[in-house]
Formats: sequence, C-alpha cells, structure tokens
Amino acid sequence: MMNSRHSSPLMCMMKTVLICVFFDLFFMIFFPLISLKWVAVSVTQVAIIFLSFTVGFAWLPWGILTLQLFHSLFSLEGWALGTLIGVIICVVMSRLKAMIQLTGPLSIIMTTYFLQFAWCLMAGILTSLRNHDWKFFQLFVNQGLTYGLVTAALSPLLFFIFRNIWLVPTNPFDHES
Amino acid sequence: MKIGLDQTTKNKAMSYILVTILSFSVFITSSEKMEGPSFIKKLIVESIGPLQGGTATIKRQFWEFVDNYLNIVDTRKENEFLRYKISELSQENFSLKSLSKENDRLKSLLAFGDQIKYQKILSQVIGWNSTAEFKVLRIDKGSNQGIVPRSAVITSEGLVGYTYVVYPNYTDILTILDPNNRVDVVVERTRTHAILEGFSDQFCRMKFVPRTEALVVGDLVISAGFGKLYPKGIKTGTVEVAEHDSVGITQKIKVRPAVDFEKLEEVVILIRPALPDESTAAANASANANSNSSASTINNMTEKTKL
Repeated sequence: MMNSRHSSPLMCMMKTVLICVFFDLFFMIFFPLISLKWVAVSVTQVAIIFLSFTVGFAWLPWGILTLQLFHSLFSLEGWALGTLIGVIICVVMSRLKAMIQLTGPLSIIMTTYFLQFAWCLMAGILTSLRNHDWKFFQLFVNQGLTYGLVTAALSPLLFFIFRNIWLVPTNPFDHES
Repeated sequence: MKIGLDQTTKNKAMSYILVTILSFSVFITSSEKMEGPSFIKKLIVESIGPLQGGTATIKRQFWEFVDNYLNIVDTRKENEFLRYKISELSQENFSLKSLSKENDRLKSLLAFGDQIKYQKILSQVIGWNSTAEFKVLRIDKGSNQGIVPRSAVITSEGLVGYTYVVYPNYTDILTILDPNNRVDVVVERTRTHAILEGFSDQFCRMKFVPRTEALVVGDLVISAGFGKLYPKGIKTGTVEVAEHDSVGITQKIKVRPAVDFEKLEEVVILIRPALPDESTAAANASANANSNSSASTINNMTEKTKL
C-alpha cells in the first residue's frame, strides 16, 4: 500500500510534520497580513485525511499522534481530541476509501470538506459531552461550515504536496491495481 | 505468512487501540481550563512573536505606503474638493456669525420691548427713502401682519419713528430724523419738556426749551408719552450741543438720536391696543397722514403741544 520507494515512512512522516508546521506558521503570519485574522486553515486535518486515504501502515495512529502533538504547539487546542478523531476518521476511511475516487481537484475539495465537517461534528459532540454544554457543538459546526471551506479550497494543493512527499500517484488505486 | 499477516493486523489494531485509549483518556481528563504553557510552547510562541510583530509592522507599513503614495492620485482631487469645502464652510461660517449677531440684536430688541405693554411686531428694514424732505424707512411688514398707521417704531437702542404709510406687506416709517416728525420729549435729568424734530441726516433738534433750563451735553432725552403716539420713557437721544439764542426766550439744542440709523436693520413696531373710542380718531389720523404729511405732523404737534 505504501509507495515510498525512495524514502522511508519515517522520513515521509517527518516531512509531513514539517510541511504542517510550515503551513501552520505561514497561515498564522500571512492571513493577518491580508486581514484574515480569524480564519483557521487546519493543514494537519488535511494531512490526516490524506494519510487515511493513501497510507495504511500499522503505526499510522502514532503518526497522527505526532502530527497532532506538533500542531498543538501552534494552537491552543490540545493534541488529544484531534488524535482521537483522526484515528476514528482513519478507521472509517479504511472501510470507505474504496468507494471514493480522488481523481480531480473538485472531488478532493468535496471529500475534504465533507470529512472536515464530520470532524467538526465529532469534535463538537465530544467536547459538548465532556463539558456538559452544547454551545460547543454549535461552535464546532460553525467552524466546520465556514473555515472548512477555506481548508477544502486549499486541499488540492496540499494533496499535491503530500503526494510528492509520499510518492503517491494521482490515483493511488491505479498503482494498487 | 499467515502468522505474519496476523501479526501485522494485530500490531495495527494494537496501535489504533493504544492511541485511541491514550488520546481519549487525555481528552476526558483534560478540562477547558487553560493551563500554563509548557516550556516548548513558550519557546515557540516567543520565537514566533517577533515574526508576527514584524509581519504586523510590514502590514502597517505596506498600507501606509499605499495610503501615502499610491493614493496620491486621488489627493489632487481631494485637495480641490477640500478647498471648495473650505470656501463653502467659510461662507457658511460668515453667515452663521451674521445670524448670531442678528440673533443677539433681536434678543436685545425683544427684551427691550418687554417693559412696554404693546403688541410687538418684529420687522426687517428693507429700504430707505431719504430726500431733503423725508427720512423714511421701509420695512417688510404691513397691514397683513397687523401693522396699523401711527404706531411707534423702536429698537433696543431707542426711538426710530412711527408707521407713516402702511401697505399690505410693507410699511414706511417716518423717522425722527424727518423734519416733519415731531416728538414730545423730556430731558431725563432736568425733566424739561420739549419738541424734538428732525434736523439733518444725523441730528435732531429740540425746540421750545426755555433759556432757564440748564441742559448740558450728554443729557438723556426720552419720550414724554404725550399724544398717545409714542410710549413714555423711550430713549430718544442725547444732547449734543446746547446753544442759547442771542435773543428770545428759548435755546437751541442739538440732539444725537439714540438709534444709529446707519446701522439699522431690525425694528419693533409697537401696536397699541385699540380702544373703542379711538378707532375713528386713528382712522382719521391715518387718512390725514397719508394725504398730507406736513399738515398731519403739524396738527399732531399742535395736539401734543396742547396736551
């Protein structure tokens, strides 16, 4: 399943982490420059979605944990919730990815947006249950509906970068077949 | 091979389970309360901070650059607009100052009239009819506004004259500068009675002042209130020159009107409350004034003198 013929999975994961850190910093600095102060682009979520589609090795959950740990350094949210949802997404996608064809930018955008929204729904439910306050659910849903659009719009570019890191063809299932 | 596959699957499942339990337990036990940042986080934030500050500076300087240089194209138009606006506002300011002064004048005018129990009609001076014979003002109110003939006209400074010819919307006022206008006056200090009549464009003169009256320059002259035309006690002028005739029993007194007619803009017409027995006499007086002003004033003077 994994196609990193020239790089070890560990190196690919390190590159992915670095890319995520770079984009986290970039958007943190660049967006305020163009007066987008409250727009959050979650590159880590896109990376996890990408990994759930293309990489199926056993220690993927640890990779997700690593990504979330680094992401938590640049945000107020902790790593635990993102890791938990990331793992759930991976499990679900391992069953559904055969039905989804990421052949073009539009399909990537749609899929990413849908998964982002599902991510926010789960985050909203879990946070609301933990805090016994459902206002968090609304906040997460709003975030998924609005900022998810920006992230989804950037997802083809991010997918392109991650494919080059992980040396995955445009359609991973073509290579698999 | 089968055992290996099972081992891989087992490892994979174990990884998922471990990470899920770990993250779930951390998530559940953590609260929304913000704890103090870790050392690494402090380090990162402290490292990113100057970068963000620099970015903000760049952003600020960029927009300042845009404002200062790129928008200079619009500056010329804006400058022209502002110059026009300044001119407009200066004009408006001048108008407002004029209105303010006018307001002050009108206030003092109306306040002056408070002590007089007449109906007061405020009016603007709109014209002058000055000849050798007449010194007449025209105001912008007439009979439609309730002005009747032979009503006293005053300002806050003093007596102006009386309504001479009344039109529907305008009225001519015979000023105290008019030689045909004669006013019963009294010198405030000495209580000397006299007749004031117009003398020139700037002065009046007092007639019938006995030589024995020691009037001095600056003595205040007020209306006596005889003859029912002018209310009593209205400031009329001040003694400018007092001359004794070489012969005769009277003296010539030159009086400067209290009102500066050169700067007169607003006046108040005092409408006397009409009495039943006066209506006919007033109508006759008005008719006489319209037909022959000289005769009217002479008759008036005679009447006042009798009083």
